[in-house]
Amino acid sequence: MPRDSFLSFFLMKTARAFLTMLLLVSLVFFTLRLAGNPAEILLEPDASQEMIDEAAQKWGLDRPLMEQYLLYLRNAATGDFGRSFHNGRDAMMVVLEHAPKTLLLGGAALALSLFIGLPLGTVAALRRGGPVDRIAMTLSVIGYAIPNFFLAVILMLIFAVQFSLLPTAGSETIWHLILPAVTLGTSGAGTIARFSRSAVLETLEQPYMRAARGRGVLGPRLIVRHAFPNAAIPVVTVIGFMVGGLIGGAIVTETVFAWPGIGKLFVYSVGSRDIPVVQVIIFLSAASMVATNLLVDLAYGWLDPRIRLSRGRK
Amino acid sequence: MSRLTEMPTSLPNETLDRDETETERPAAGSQKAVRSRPGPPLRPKSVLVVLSLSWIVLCVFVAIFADVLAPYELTAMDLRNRLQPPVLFGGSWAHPLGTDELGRDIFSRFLVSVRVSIFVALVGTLIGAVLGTAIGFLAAHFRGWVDDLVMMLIDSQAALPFMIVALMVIAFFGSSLTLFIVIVGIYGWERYARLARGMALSALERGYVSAVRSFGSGPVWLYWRHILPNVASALIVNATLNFPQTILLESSLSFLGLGIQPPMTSLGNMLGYGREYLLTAWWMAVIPGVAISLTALAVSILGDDLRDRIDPMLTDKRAA
Repeated sequence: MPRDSFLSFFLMKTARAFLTMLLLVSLVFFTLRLAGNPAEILLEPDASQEMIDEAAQKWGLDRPLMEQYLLYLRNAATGDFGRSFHNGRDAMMVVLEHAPKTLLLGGAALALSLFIGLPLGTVAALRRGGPVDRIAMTLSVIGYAIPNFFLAVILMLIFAVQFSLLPTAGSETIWHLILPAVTLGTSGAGTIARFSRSAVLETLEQPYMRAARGRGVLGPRLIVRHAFPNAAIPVVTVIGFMVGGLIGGAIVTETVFAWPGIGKLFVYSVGSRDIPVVQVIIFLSAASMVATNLLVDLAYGWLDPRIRLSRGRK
Repeated sequence: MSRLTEMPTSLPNETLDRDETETERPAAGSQKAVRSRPGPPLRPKSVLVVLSLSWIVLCVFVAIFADVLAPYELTAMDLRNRLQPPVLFGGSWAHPLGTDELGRDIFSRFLVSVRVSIFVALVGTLIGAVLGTAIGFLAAHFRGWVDDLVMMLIDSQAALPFMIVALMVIAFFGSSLTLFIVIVGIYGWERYARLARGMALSALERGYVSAVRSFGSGPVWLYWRHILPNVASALIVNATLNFPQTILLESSLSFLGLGIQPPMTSLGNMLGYGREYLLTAWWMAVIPGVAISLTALAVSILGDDLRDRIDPMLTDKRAA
């Protein structure tokens, strides 16, 4: 890590993130083109060669591969990711239309994960080694180990088949949100519980905690004022990566519950070989992960005065 | 190194306690006594480990002898006895776990599914471990631009959830068993690569490497005979921790209909089809689902235990 200044550190990180994106977008571009002429796959199996050529020309697929690639990069730089092979609409628009549903589902799941995981992990750390700790950690392992598609099936069996309480497909009402959010949020709750337990345990052993206790700071105040800010760093990182991995993580859940988000759109688009839409989804997914990484770095500085101060000093 | 490359890997690894095992260990003074004892005293955790081990042994046994154990052919249909419940829920001993929508015996299909799922996950894990380790060693050996390129590839892989990559490749290139296993195998390569690279770099600083070099050993011999054995335990731990994820990836893809294709079957595949019959035949989905969950759980517990025993980081800490 360079020590000259925060600015150069920041610039290097940004450049690296940019290069990562470029490499990824390029790899995906060539992988998708390697799979054969998309026009051939898109049209009916009995389409004539003329129809195929015409479609290929329409989508610019008849030009040399390098030319297509450079054109793709140039257009992507201006925010133009091409048009959907299916309805000819702007691919980015098609994907963004599905974003609110995914964000709603992801937000609800994350809220649930935090609501359950943080208290569970903190209590487990404070009652370390006791029965509460064991129960909490067993729950969190189970929450993490149950595959989300199986959890979805179990929830459907209980709440839809057995008791007919909740709908299992669609996104029309708030009731539709419950089962997918629980499905997606359970493994997150398990992960957050484990991370926050480790983080709190680690801070409890630090000298400053002993110092605070020695000054007579006790009870909830000790935990909230002294342990939490320090334990927050690893936990915030995990949360960050949960947000970054949202699109990929929601694929199965959205498909099972017919939740019309980006994950379900992705399954549909790869199935129907809508290359521009697939590329946009991959771009957004990777960009959110890379951006999360940068944001987590900034959050580190905000939460950890040592990082913040070392910046100012130099 | 950017945090992007570090954090996602620690997610699955962190799922099982690190701190607890470290702190529950006896203090430094009593180390020798503990290590000379044949095994740690029986604790609730050890019971869990034994249970997990038994489950895995059972699974492997089933995987090997699926043909012999299965009472029916994989595709034998009995259309008059469709959707029969398991024996404890009103079914008959003719089909102990019931039948599916075509009257096929679920017990027989289940045994074969266990075989297929374990086979795919095992071969996949092997591919990932060999590929990732080789790439990591290459980066450590050549450094310079090779190292830069490998690190960039690792970054890119870490930036994209593997589920997305797998779905894309399988959908565009068509699903075949070979491609499917390769895809499952590639999963997690970046973790082995990062681990192997880092540990090879630190091993290269050690005295024994320059000693071996001074004897005139070539690089392949050096990595194969001297560095690999020294880093193998950490790689094995990583493989064990990766294995449940591999099982879950296989079953997720099969569940979505993009993995193992009929008439072949796997646990995820059974669960995927069973989902259609939740209203009338819940057992079709629940039986394979329980098996997947238990297997993932058991391997996680074993991997955690294994790490506690042979993680070189912990050993280093102890020695210090």
